[in-house]
Amino acid sequence: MNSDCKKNLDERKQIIENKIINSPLKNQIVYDPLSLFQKEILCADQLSPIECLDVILSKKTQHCIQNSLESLESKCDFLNKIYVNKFDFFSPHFEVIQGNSCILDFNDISSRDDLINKALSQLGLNADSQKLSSICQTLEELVMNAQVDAKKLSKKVVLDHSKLILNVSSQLIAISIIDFYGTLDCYKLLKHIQAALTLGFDKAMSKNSIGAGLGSAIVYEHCDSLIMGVIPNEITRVTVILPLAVSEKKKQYIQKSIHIISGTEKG
Amino acid sequence: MSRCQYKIENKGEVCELILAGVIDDSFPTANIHLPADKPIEINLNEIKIINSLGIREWIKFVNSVQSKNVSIVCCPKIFIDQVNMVQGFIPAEFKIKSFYVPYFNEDDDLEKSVLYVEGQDYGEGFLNVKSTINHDTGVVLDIDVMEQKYFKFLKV
Repeated sequence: MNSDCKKNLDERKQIIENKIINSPLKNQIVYDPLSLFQKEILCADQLSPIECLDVILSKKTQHCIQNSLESLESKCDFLNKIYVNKFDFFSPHFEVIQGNSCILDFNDISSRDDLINKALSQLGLNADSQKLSSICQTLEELVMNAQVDAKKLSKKVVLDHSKLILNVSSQLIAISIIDFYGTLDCYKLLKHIQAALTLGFDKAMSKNSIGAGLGSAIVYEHCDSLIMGVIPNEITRVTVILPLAVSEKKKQYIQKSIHIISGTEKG
Repeated sequence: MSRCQYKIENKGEVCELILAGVIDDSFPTANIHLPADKPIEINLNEIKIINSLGIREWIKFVNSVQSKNVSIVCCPKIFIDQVNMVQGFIPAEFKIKSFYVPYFNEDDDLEKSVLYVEGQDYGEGFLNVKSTINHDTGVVLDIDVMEQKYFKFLKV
């Protein structure tokens, strides 16, 4: 494990304590997956991608954070912000990471090629770069999901345009998609990913017409953090934080984090 | 309209299928007619993205190819990633004759892809991995894949 990512228990506790003084997060963070209850936040270390999923699914919890290329400090800042008002997350102007940003509207007939090229070029990124292939693939999956799957799963006619939001810092890019269907079932999506990672991509491939079941697994494979928010039948926001201009060897040390932000009162 | 452009050319005895763009659910399987009795070479040099629905369409396509002599050339990294990840992504009898290996220097943000060719860089029981190469600017680039994972499909 890369020492840049790995944090022992004392280090993690120190970071958290520095960040949550006077925060509503106080007393909600636990460090041991075994003592985790539904409403609590797990601050873990050295959980594999599949273990991170398992924790969220088995405990039906909403946040599992680990220090990674996106630092634990940054993850605490994010949690502090959404604990003040979780509905802020659904604003296109909510920035998960600080840096340059762009917001583009699209609908179900927008050209994905044009949209992706335009978004990347607005941030000075070259879509033809080999280093951006995983970012382009993630963009493709997320936009396609909003254009095809969200619409198919919804009974309502949505006139508002979906939004693609990119935030870029020196080593990270946050890709967010907002759609106004509100059809995402976060735990179901995580189960799809779990199936792909445990059974293999070929066996997890759905034969039905709504998605191949692989898209979410591809996105998870590339990401550092996966953040999903939904207000049922109103709005969905999915944000994925990925490494940018980082060598593949360094990417191996990513420790994944997952957040689920439910817009329902009970959530 | 398909986001994957294709061209079929006869190169002597070999029928070459050149694909470019995005492999997705609009992949034109039904329009691509390849001879059953000729060697086929599929050139993927210009393939940019394969999305999740494209993986399914690609598998349908390769399973519809009747020729018993099929080779794939100039495979981009995104293609090799799928070969390694999705069992059955290419039928066992298909041969990968060449593929790209990415190199990168993080400090200078410089990259280059090098084409590894069968018989020259890899083959039956051998694989010659170049751990570094020189960029045109003289900067040294390191191999930018996890070797065990990326070269897994070669089974050497």
